[in-house]
Amino acid sequence: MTHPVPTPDTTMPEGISAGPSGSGDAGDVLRTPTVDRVVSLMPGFVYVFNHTTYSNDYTNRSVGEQLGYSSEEIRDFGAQMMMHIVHPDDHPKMSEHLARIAQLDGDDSISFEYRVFRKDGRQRWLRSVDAVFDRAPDGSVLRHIGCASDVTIEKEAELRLEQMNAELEAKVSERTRDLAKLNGELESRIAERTYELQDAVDELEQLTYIATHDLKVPVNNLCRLGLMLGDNAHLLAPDQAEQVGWINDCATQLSAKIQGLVLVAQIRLSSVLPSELLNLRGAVMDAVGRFEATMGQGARPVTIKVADDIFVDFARFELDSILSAIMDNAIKYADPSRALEVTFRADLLEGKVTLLVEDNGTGLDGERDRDKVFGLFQRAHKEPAGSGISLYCARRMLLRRGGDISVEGHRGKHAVFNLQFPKRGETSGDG
Amino acid sequence: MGDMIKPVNRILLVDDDAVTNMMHSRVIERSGRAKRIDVATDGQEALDIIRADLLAGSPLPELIFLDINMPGMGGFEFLEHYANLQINPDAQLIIVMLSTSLLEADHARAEADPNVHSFCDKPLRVEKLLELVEEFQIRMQMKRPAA
Repeated sequence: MTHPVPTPDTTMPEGISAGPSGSGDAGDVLRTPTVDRVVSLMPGFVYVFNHTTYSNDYTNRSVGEQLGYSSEEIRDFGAQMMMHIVHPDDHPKMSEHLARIAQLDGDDSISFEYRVFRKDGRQRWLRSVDAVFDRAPDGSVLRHIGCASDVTIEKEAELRLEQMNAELEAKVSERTRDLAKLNGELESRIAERTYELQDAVDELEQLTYIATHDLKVPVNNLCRLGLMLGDNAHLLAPDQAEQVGWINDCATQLSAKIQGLVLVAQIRLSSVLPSELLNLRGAVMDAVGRFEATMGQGARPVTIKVADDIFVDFARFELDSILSAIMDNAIKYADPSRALEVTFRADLLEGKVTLLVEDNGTGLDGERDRDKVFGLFQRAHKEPAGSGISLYCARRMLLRRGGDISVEGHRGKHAVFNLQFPKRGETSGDG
Repeated sequence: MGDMIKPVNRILLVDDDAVTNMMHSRVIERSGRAKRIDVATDGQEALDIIRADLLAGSPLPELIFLDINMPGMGGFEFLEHYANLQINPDAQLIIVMLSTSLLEADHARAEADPNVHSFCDKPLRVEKLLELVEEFQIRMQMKRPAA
């Protein structure tokens, strides 16, 4: 020590020899020329502390002088020097440290860190490592030897690190609180939006119900009245008879559009149908079978290149509707100048089934016609007349279950529909 | 003043709906403001008519009533192709988009097209027709050099 030495009753160091002098046995032992040379070269302070006198029997250099105090000041401090230079907060810990040394076994050592003040007021950190120097016959510690070194740089770095860690932890806590708050707000917003969306869906369903049920009655009546007027057209002036014809045409169009809306509404309802593993080849063959009669005499047999072991995870009603829409489209837009050829080709890649359906009809331009082919009440071709519903519905059904449909081709030559089915087990229940 | 308006030579109706075309034809015929009415049932057919006129050096229709949604080539696609025809601005052609569309986007798109004169609701009313024919004739008079 430079050890501070607690008085027996307490707390305070006493009887420390602050000079570079040694005394007693320990001083003699350490004052051989070689040892003296070694300890004088060592950084820090080497000391032997006497537990009976509570003073150092030996120190290699004066702590006081190293901390900038004058000889007079050191003398004035006397045995209470350490009391003056050790940070008051460290006094109790120092007493505890001395008590622990008295309990040390054999060659065990313990270390202790504490603060001292330089004369200029700056604080320094010292670290002591202490071990028993000699014992009384009853085993109690007579003296201990120690080495104290200046670890201010290390301690200040350590303290800065601790402070930075504390600041970081405070920031993390703050951010965690902010995130928790944001999460709370987000959840509340999601709940609000979900409610709004559900409200919108409910309203839309109500409107759909009105469109598909309530409008049908007056439209059907309009159609019927138009036909009744038509039956009496011979009683009307030519202009009037013509206008009655127009009214009937309009009523028929209106009825068809409402029927289309009914179908679209049914798709919404079909989205709750459970999906099941369906054999694609079987489904394609069924669909082709349903249209055989309408394909015409000149049509070539439909080519089905779909392996027996390909299955799709889909609702049966919807798969049948989609395949029917594709077949119906191929037949409707067959080119009268050549025999209709339709080919179904399925591939299974990484668990995803793709079905390509190619026909050599009047053809489609993928880039130009895509929106019209799949748009509601839209048509890519003027002739023949169509409702513009079935392929819209097919796409909606596929999208809702995690699949998709696209079209490529060339006007006047061919069209290729690319149906992508969702992976098994990844079918969305509802869209 | 309406009686003093000279009829235009030709009006082109572009619409896929047969009833609409018949009704519009009837309105124009009864107004007496067009010597001839041509009908195209999609944008492609309308383009073919205009291309044929250009090729033959014949006068173009003075007024075109253009629908937006048609199977095959729609109204906006027609306008894209029409712009590529690079028709002389002095041709004084008036294109009016006719639609029942409530979509703001359709109105904005039509109004942004320099070749579109205006956007109006279907079916065409005779008052609107007279207004357009009058505007066309005033433009023609302004274009003629002073005697």
